Amino acid sequence: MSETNLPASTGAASAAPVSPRRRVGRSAGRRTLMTALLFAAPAFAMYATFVLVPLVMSMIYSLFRWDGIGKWRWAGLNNYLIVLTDSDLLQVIGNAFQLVLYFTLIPVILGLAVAAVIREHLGGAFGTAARTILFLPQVIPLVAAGIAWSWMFANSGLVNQALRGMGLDDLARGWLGDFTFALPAVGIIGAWVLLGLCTMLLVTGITKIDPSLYEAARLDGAGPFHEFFYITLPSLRPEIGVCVTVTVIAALASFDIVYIATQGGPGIQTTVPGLEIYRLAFAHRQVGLASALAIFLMVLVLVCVLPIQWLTSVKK
Amino acid sequence: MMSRFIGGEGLLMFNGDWESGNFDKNAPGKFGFFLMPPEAEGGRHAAMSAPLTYGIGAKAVNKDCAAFFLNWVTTNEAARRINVDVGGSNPGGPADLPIPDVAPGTVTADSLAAGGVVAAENGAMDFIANATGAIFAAGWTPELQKLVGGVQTGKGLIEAVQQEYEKELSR
Repeated sequence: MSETNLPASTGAASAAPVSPRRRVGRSAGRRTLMTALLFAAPAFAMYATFVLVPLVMSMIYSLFRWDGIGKWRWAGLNNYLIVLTDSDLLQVIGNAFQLVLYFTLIPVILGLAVAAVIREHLGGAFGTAARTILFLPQVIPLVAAGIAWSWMFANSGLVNQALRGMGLDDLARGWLGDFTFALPAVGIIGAWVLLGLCTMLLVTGITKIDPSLYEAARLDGAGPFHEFFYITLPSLRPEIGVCVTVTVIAALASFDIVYIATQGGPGIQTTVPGLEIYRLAFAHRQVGLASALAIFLMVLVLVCVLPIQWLTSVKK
Repeated sequence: MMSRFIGGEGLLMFNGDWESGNFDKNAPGKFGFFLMPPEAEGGRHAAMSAPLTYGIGAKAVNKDCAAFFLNWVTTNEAARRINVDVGGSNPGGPADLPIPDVAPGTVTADSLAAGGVVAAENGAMDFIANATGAIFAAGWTPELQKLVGGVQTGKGLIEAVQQEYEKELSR
């Protein structure tokens, strides 16, 4: 508007003198950009130091044979070849995918069920108590959770006491030392830890759903199941996406719980990539192979998580 | 683990002779020691056993003092006596040196006698914990867990550890 009131220039557009207002505008824009960059700089510096630099370093390490102290020897893609062909490492990766079933399915399904049940009592004392209790595992350090559950799963622990109390003595066992049940037992620990997070996210999402939708459905004769499947579930799509993403990453990149509860045993039944990376680097002194497994794990997480994000994102 | 076992919370415990003195001091007359029975009756006994493996840094300031002490602790009669009385374990050192006398019927006496049996039957193997960290973590530990869990045989264990050793060398 202002520019139309200025005298028209007679030369070529490119040669036209820049108006003082435009110059002021550009200068202000540059200042805004500089300010924004300055504000972002500390965070970027931290991100670069603790994420980008280690990432690039790991990529470099993965191309070498290196014990962490001595000389580097070029290995090319051999470390990646080992990751893809070593039977033990493949089993370790398979263990992580099995954990996804426990870390993701149980918390998301139970979280949905709990959210649907307490939806109508969110404001009351019951809702507050339920949310607090369910969120508790999330504020407990994973190491503490691992230790507590190790006691529960021990031969004389609470789980076996309950089984024996019900007369199911034959089922009692050292769960974390059992070749068949160790991985599911670790999965249960992870599910317990993540249930609170999923429930909180889903309960928060449920509060955003317009109550009139439920009223309208009820007027049309819908029951609780119809309400859940036709209103609650579709409306919670973004929150479910976040839950699945976070829990899948927690399963594939798990370390703490496994390290505390089983140290990867018995045998390598519960060894996961996170634990194996640590061992390869610090026990085997194979920093290159450990880095290759770490990079492979990162790619694996991205391959799993990106489709989940795409499928659960709401198209606007 | 030891306090619970001494407190009566266990029937058997796998352990080494370094705990013999502890048993004799804290629970005299309550425990004994025996070697793992051989696979077949009358067969050879086997156990983990290792010499005192110490090294002296080449740049150590008092190399001679350290060497004198290590020599003294394994050969001097009084030192060997302290070793047995306090720790309860075999004092090590040259094989032809006599083992100090101990009170009969003690755990220390049992374990010292057992050491003699293993030596006579040539059944000693090095401590698995003396393996490199990698072989111990990726070979011995998981394979022993499989053996105890009933999903691995003794022969399979040795083969798996050997395979892990060769894999480590190849990388």
